[in-house]
Amino acid sequence: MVTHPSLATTVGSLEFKNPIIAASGTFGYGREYEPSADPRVFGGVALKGTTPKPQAGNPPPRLVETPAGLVNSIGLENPGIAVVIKEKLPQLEDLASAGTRIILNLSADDDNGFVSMAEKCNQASPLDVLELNLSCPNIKAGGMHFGTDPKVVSKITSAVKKATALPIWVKLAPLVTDITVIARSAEDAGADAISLVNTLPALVVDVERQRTVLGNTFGGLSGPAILPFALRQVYMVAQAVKIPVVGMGGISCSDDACAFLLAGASAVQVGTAIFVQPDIAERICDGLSQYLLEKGYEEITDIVGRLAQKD
Amino acid sequence: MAVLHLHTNTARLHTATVEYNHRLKPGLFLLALLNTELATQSLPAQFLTIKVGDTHSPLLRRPFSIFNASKIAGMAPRVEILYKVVGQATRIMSHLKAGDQVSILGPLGKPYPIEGVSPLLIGGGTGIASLHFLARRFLDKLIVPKILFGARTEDELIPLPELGRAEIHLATEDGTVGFAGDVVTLAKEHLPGAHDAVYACGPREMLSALKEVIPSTPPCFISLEETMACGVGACLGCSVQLADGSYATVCRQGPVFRIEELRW
Repeated sequence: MVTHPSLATTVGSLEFKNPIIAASGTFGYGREYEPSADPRVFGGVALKGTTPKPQAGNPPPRLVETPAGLVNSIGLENPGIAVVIKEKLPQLEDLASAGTRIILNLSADDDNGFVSMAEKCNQASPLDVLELNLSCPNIKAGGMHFGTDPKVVSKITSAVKKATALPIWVKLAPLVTDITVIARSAEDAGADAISLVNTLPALVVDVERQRTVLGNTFGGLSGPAILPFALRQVYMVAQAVKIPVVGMGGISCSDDACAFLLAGASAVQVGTAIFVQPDIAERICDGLSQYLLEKGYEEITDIVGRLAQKD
Repeated sequence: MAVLHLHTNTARLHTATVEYNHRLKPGLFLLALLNTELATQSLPAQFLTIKVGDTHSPLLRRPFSIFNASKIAGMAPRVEILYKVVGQATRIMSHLKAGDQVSILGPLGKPYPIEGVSPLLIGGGTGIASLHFLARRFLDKLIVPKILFGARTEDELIPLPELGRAEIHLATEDGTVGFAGDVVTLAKEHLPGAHDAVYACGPREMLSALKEVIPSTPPCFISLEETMACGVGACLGCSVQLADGSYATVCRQGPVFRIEELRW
């Protein structure tokens, strides 16, 4: 009989004390939620999307709630990679000591930007993973998202891989013709894991004033509304690649997290739900432990990918 | 980027019990929540976020300025929230009854600095909430604030029985009670007075109009409202533009700003 099921998981060669990771953009640089929530409860925290230079962000309004969802257009407001390495990461030593993995999410408008940040990260600490946000507009390609073109995904991934020894997670935009093609191109180029899904492109209209709500017109939809779609994309990618998958999209309870693990995710990220329940990591971990107990599993890894095994 | 002073974040997740949820006027409610920590720690202009209902709709917590926080011997330690029913979340809140439990995150944000001995407080609509709390704190210090409280019509003006000793001037845009006109026009008659600090809270248009008429001294502190997701400075969703072009979060770097710090 199982009495103390283990929530420990691995993403490639990297161990996580539990599979719950704070998603980039929802947990700042790791300390903002204190003292209302302890960041060390998370298996990992993915820090705010960081760019080569400081970025001011988009004009407000930047947020609007939609049915069971949230549309945001923050515009990657961040102090730039140099400040993050010098001032933000050193504040996270106690997280690292507590076994919470530090994931730095990187965004750039060309491959040189990604490479230069990755090189700077070689001396950064504490830092366990670089997550490449390939959902941002590619300025050189007329604003097309990098993540929609397998050749571009491959080029950026292999360039960053050469520049650093840190594990690289390639974070994919969900709205593409065939997500498995994009995921495989990242895998072939040396990605250590695929993380998905980023927000869905969205538009919200103020009917009374006959204009768009967000200051930057378009935004990204997150929250429970996108979960079934995200789950489908994660399931498809988990079937298509051999490297691990980190799943996310609308997770707000342990059953949601469980669904992603069953669909093949080795770990999951929680974003919008943190806004609603800052202590969500604890709640989900408790729920997952209970699930394992009830089902008689000793380890959370026992359920990863169970869905495909039953096909 | 502008560097704004941050108030030490003392916010915690609380489960609070509803003491009462009074309907003050049509669509205007005063919600009292029993919680010792919130009642003790909250300061004027700080806010709470409330998870309304237990479904995904509404999804995000909703921010509310604190109308009053009191911990008086022999009385229940409570915080009060003044709210207007404007949408789904506040409609659900209007059905809360004594004994119901709600999830609260707070207190959040930077409070008003309490300065001066002759403060002028200018409130529009439910913006009176933070000023009510502030006025109470001034009265506790035996300082009598002058309060200008405006709304569109008498039905939107709530009674302020706990501010008996303060000097209160009312304004309604339709002239149903008090000064006939908006509160900023009324404020012009009181500026410049012998006031050594001005505090204002209300709709953005009101604050923007105030900026046009306010002298550069005394200092004018305003408290802003914005749609927000996290409430703690993590998501950067509630940012407003500062005079230097950079952005500041209303939830963490605000909600209180000096009026001249913002780009209008």
